[in-house]
Amino acid sequence: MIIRDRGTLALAIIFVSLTAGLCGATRELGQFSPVPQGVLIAFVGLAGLALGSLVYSFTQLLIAILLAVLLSGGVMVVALLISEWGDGMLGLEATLSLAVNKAVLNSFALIFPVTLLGGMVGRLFYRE
Amino acid sequence: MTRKISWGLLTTLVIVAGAIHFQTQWSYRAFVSLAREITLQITETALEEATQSVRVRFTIVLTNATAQPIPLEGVSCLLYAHREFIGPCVLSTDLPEAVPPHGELKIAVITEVTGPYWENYRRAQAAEVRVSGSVQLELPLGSDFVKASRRFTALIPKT
Repeated sequence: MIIRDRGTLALAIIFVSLTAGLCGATRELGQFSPVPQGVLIAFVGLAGLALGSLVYSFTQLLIAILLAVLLSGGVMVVALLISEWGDGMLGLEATLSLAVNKAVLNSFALIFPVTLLGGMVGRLFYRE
Repeated sequence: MTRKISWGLLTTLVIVAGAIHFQTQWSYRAFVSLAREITLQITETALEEATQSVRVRFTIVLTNATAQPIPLEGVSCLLYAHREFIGPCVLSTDLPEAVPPHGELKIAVITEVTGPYWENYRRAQAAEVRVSGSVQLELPLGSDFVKASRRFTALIPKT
């Protein structure tokens, strides 16, 4: 019932990263999002909750969340680059720098605390 | 919580977050392409010095290449001589409500710089005046409007 093999853990981390990264990038384009910011933050928290209920120890949860935060940063950078792709208003270098800045800020100020909180709640639902 | 529920939740979140992000990107793209069809130019510039004042004149030309009227919220700009602030711009006409579709809108700006602002201008001994500001618009996006501002900067040399 729990994640012990690395492959499954990696898959869970990828799923959390995709959710968090896409939500973070959507949040950056908030004016155009069909859902309010709170919903996006709730999605990140729920992803953390699901992850927390799958891992067997707090250490594993923390490592998984840190990896997910890093990967979600990458997802965010790619998503933000795609949003500016072909637009040509800023050069590639400026767009990349802007995307990285936003991704780093979102990863550490939003995704890390929210997934950690969700993960800790998720640990309550963990069953051996 | 069983493993199935957790995996189900994770998969659903990825799909829903992906769908929301795709829709957001789509709306953003539509906004950018719409914004590209609105162009701004500064024309008919003039800087006329008098004994105790200086008059700055220019015209903001907004061109709307879209098939829909673009609501205009406001225009604001500031004048500088080198780094010295020499006052805010004064619009000489009332702002219309919207930029007409497939048309252009001319906004004449005539500002008389006097008093302490003129002192600043005189002290700066500039050969030109820099105007920087923005035009606030509301771009239609689906059934909604998104606020956008088009910034501009221009150098107006002495005439």
